[in-house]
Amino acid sequence: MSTSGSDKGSKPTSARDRRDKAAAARAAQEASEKRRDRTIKIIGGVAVLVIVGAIVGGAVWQSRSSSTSNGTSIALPTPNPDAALPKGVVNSGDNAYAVPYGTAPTTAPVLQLWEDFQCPACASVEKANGQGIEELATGGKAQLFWRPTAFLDAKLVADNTKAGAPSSSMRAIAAWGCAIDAGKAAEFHNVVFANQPTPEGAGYTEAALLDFGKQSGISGDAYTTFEKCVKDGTYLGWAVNSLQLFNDKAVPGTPAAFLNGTEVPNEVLADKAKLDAAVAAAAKT
Amino acid sequence: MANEMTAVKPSTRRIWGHPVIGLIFRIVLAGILAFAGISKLLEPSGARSAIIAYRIPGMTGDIAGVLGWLLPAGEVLLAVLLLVGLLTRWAAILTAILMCAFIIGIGSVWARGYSIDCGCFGGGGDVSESGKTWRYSSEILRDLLFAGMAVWLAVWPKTLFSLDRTQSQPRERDDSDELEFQEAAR
Repeated sequence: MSTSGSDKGSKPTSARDRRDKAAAARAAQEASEKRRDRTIKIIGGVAVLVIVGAIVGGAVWQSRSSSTSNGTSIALPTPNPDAALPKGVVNSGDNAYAVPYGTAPTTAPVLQLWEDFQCPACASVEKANGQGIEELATGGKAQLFWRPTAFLDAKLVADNTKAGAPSSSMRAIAAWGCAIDAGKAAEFHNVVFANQPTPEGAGYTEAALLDFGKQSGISGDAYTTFEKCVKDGTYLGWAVNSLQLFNDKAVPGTPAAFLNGTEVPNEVLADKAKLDAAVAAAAKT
Repeated sequence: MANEMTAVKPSTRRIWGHPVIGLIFRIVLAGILAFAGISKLLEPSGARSAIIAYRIPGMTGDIAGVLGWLLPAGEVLLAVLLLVGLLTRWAAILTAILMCAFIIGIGSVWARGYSIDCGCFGGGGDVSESGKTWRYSSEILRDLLFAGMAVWLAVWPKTLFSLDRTQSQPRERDDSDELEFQEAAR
């Protein structure tokens, strides 16, 4: 600065000059920072979207391919309202595909009970109060409708396949249908839940289902018919229809019990005193 | 912003709002959200029935099916935003709201007497009554912890190694700055 002689001559204007130049330099720097900010935001935003898209897409692709490579389901009929139904099963209306049980008059409260034979929570409710529920029906206090579903098959494909028992919930329902024909609806239902394997997903082989028939008291000619019915998968169509209805109605899970259309929480369902009280209250209204 | 905060309470941000704590919270929340989102995406039908199991009035199978995709996709988006530190404050606010929604959902099924698996990391649906109190209370405590981290990030979103931070904040002008500019202009 002191080296230049000409600098000294222009000094009167240089202070303002310098301020102007400083302002210009600052403006230029701010503009370039703004551009840089915008570039980072755009590139960052695009990168985030690409990463999210890749993760979501990858997970979906993985879920699609694993459901076919981790195991197999049995070939199932498509839902068909004309599919064969076991003896006494409701064929239409609000209780379509349900198994009615008990001797209650049509004026008694309606208790619908959705269950999946592979559902551990169902087995624990059955253990806690299965007998109490059946007594309500046989005692004429409530019209009981068992409603089978097989939604756990989709979740347990890999485990069921590994255990040599693909689509166990579906096949258990179909076998139950054969037992219903033999007049052993409650017996078979109870034997299956009492013998539900741990861990969840070990499923039911055909041999196990046939044995459940014997344990339910099916014998002689009736057993021969039962065995053929199980092996033919006669009532798979019924199981498919009931599952379809379960999905359409968005039933919140299993076990799900509805007393005159209102859901009964599991802690009530599993408790004989509480359920009896709820049914008695429903009978009054 | 930073200016005002440091001007008012210089020690608060330096200790509680330390950028390293923020970095740790971002990584933890991003990890949890990514894990939760991906687990659900891997099992879309499970996510659908997990949502139905909350018995939200008016919930239909179709809405639950759509939510079963949207919710985990949103979780993954929040996870990536938090991880790279972009729009940190907004991502943190949304995360806090999401956690509060989960807490309300779990508290509500608990109060109504149902026994479900929260489906937080895939799975879901009804489960047996045993251990219900411990299961629900630990899930709520866990979500409260995450909500706390998210609120922290919403209050102090400027953290270490974040894309937000590489961007110039409104510059603090001081004397040294001014001198620098004048030097440069000379």
